[in-house]
Amino acid sequence: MRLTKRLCSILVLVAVLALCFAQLYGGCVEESSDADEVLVFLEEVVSLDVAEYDVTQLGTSLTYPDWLGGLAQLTGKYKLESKTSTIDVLFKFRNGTLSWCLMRILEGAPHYINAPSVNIRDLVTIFLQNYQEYTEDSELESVRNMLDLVDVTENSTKTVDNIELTVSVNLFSSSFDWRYTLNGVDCGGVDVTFRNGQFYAFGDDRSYHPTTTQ
Amino acid sequence: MKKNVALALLCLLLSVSLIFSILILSIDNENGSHGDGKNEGSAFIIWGTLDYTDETYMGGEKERNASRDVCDTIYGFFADARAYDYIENFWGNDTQPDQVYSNVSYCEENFNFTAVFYKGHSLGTHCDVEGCTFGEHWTLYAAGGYEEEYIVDYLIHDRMSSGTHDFVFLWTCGYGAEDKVGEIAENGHSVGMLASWMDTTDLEADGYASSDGSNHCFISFDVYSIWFTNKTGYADFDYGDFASLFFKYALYDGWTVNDALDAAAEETHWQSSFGDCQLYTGYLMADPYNPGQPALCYMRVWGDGNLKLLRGEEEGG
Repeated sequence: MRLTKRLCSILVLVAVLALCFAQLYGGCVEESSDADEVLVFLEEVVSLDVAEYDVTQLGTSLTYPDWLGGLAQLTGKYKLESKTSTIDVLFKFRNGTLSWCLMRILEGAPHYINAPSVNIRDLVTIFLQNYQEYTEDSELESVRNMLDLVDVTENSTKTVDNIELTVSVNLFSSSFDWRYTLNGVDCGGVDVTFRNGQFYAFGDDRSYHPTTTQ
Repeated sequence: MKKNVALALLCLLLSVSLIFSILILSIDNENGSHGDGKNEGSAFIIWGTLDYTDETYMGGEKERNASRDVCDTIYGFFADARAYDYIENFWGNDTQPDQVYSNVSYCEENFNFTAVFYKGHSLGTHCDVEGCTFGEHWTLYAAGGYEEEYIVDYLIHDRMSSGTHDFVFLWTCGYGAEDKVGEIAENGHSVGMLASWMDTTDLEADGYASSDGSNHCFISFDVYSIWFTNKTGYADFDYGDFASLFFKYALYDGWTVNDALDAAAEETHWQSSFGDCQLYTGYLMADPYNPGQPALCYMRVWGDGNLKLLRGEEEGG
């Protein structure tokens, strides 16, 4: 009788510990579902047909770097594989928002929902349209309108109100970087890079933009 | 009695739930985060000079301290990853030519994969090997720098036996340039840091843009390397941060050298990839040979940018 009671007490204690473990695991699941948002981004903004791929999540890490002043940074990688195409996807979430995504095509042609345009201006415009819908951010309208003011095939810089657009074209890629400024101070922005006529990388640091001290 | 049975049953159920949670956790770890890819037969060595005497052309004391600190940080990442069997940080006084050569031999004989990081300076020299037709050879500064014996290219290559120095990152001037790749003669005599460390001259010149699958990756600079203390222009980051973040990301499970370059460039430069960052597109550095006329310089990635520093079973040795 006494022995049964002791045994039960120990088992109850062990069960409480198990619940604690389960809580910890719950945290991991939450991180993983945050990371899944990248796949939504790829589908809705890049028009990648994610359903065509087997998706594997690789090294993922949650950190709180000093430079983010205590905000969380979730960094990770997905491998997307189909019979004819292999893609690596890197990502970073900062302050709970997707702030960086890079898509490296390793093999074959990617499966798209809508085939990408062969015109670089259209590529950027469609990307921004999709991103505006994805984020429901009406500010991106003025960002998109600036494209009409630049030659997208050569290096150039254009400033309208508080937004500066820099176009950088080199042998590797074509990049478009919109920076918001307030009284000459950089307040963050959006950038997107295309390589060989396909989406390569994107960044948006507006939700956490750090101060440059130099 | 019935009460006891019910209690025992409840405890049994809870215990089963415990076993399940432990199982779930272990399954998650098998698939999951970095630091779980322990493997056999890998080595990582850091070397670095103490000589940063001249402020303008050698970096000065700040650069020396930053080099020490960054090498400590990188060493810490490798130690924490627990994926390498032999990790040494020989930055400073332990960077002696003989120690470098004997470590090359040791790693070649004992490990399937060796990664090396060197921080310092470069200088030309000549050798007295009979029949050498190479002319100028290339060296790395050892601890004592200019005044003391250097680490010489062909003496590194002399210690090669298995050709398992698969990743070498020399944060020093010049050795990433096409004209410094070097050669290996039929008798095994070599010239050039790339040829001597990697035991090959047949690597793709832009391993970032078009990785060659050779399982060998060599990173260094074309013209002048950038100081660790130079600011990147984004937040408060400098190039020492770039170097340490590169290694941090390179040790994530399933991440490649290219992935780590991209993630480090994004974080420290606010450029969406390494391909957009000035290390790849070109940056200006003071040129001691043309004062007032800065030189355009690059970081070059030779060979296999898809190489992984965290070796899994599929990568083998």
